[in-house]
Amino acid sequence: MDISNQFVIETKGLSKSFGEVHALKSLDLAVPRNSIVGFLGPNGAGKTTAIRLLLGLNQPSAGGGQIFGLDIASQNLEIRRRVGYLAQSPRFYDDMTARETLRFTARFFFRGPKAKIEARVSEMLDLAGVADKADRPTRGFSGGERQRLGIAQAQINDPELLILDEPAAALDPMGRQDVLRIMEQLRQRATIFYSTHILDDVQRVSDRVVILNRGELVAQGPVETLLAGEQGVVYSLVTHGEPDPARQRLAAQPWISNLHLAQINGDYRWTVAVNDPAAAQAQLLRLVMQDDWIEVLEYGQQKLELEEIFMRLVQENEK
Amino acid sequence: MTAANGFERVEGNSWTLGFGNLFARENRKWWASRRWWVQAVIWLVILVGLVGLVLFVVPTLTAPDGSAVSQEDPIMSALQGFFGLGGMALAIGITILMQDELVAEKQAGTAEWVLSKPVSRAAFFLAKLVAHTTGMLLVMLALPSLGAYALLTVYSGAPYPLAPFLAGVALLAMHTFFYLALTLMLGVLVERREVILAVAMVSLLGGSLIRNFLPTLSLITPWFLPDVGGLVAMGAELPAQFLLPIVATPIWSLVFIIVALRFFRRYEF
Repeated sequence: MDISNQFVIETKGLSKSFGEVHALKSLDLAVPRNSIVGFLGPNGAGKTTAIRLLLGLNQPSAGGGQIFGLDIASQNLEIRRRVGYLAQSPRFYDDMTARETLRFTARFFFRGPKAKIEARVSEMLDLAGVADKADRPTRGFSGGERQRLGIAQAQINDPELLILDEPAAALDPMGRQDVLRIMEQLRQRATIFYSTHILDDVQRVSDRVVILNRGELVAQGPVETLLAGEQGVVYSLVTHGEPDPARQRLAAQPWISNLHLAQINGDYRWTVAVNDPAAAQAQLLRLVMQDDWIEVLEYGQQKLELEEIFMRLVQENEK
Repeated sequence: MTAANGFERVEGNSWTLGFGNLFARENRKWWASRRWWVQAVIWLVILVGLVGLVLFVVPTLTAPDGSAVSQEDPIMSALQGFFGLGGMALAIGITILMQDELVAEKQAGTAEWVLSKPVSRAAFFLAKLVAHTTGMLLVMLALPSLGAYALLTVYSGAPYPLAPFLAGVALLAMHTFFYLALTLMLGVLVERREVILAVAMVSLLGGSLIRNFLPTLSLITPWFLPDVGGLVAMGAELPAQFLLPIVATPIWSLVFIIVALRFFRRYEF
């Protein structure tokens, strides 16, 4: 496969400073075609800055990037023909109705025919669940309704790439489900790059994640790879009773790659990373229970959630 | 989604892409809302009312001793009022009307939304400039000028000379456009409405003062232009130096537009 065709978004050393503030530091991003990529990071991590740079709304201080092989700084008009964008807090002309807003948006892409444009507008109103509010001025829209209209306008041109900045932020649980459903429907036709704080959603629909902290890229890759973690398989135990002899026995095992013990309310929590799951399954519990004063209260293989991975990576980055 | 799907794609270059759609949107602000008739009433009352007052009311007023309040030619006084005071009032009016045009869009996020579409920044700015200039010219200037011309004709008992009157109105338009361009440029450069209003007002009111102290400097600014318009409308011979503001004002306006386009191209959201 042609490398240049494999990635829809590629950046190299993409950086942005506002005076002394380095909002984005040398971001190297690669977003494969037809993937759904969750763009994660705490508030102020630089996600919105990165998105604005990709769309040509801001100019990079250093580095650069390409979307569809087109330069984000000099060819952004052509890029925006093929992209749908939803801003973090979408705002529209409040004297326009939802239908007029979509018609207005469509006319940046298409001159006609009028009937087809109207059909497309109606289709998008239905898709985003705002058809019943189509002829109401947007000034009376709630945050959730604006978000839904934002999703509709982002898709009006049937884009090859959707860039969504916090698409579910203002939505209720039903709205969130709708957004996830729409994203899954679009998977075959478009690449979706979206920022979010809702890690459950990322784990559910995304193929890949990009994690940003303080303007720096912390991690990027397939969700499964990230969930597997660097430590591989991890066991978690909670015991009661003096743990030192058991700890020495475990530390001597070659299949244990990392051992962490913490005292919690008189009990002990063990986190044991192993590089040979079979050996661990056969011997770990037995080695701990050799001391008859040790009582095992909990035992099991730790299944990491994206939230834990995210927190760990961000905290490591901040050290 | 392209022509293959039956849609006709919008074409344009880095200057014009999105202009038509945006121009229609800006035009709606004048013609699809009550703005056009509200502004028409305001300026008819101010400008035509002023001319009517000077032509038909002031000559009937007498001082306590029975003498006439004004000894001047009512037509000359009416033209001085229409162009002199009218010029200042129009400049204030257009500044107030335009101060929010760009700042509000930048602050509300609508500018970012529109510019995330295939729209050139030049088109975004020029659509506002062209649409509001058209609205301003037709509603705030052409309509009251028509009314004022009708009153002058009624008062004279014969059609008032049209060519000099139109030339005077053109200079008034040039003066008002200067403030429209200045206000839009400031909308690009600053984020606060107060600053826009302050700069435009200082230019307008300060200019009136400066021209008394530095008349030569005033000649390369628009500050003399409304008075020059009045003289032109009266059919007076213009001193050669009065040609300077006629040349300088469009140059200033052009500079404002170029500065605005240049800075807006690099504006960061």
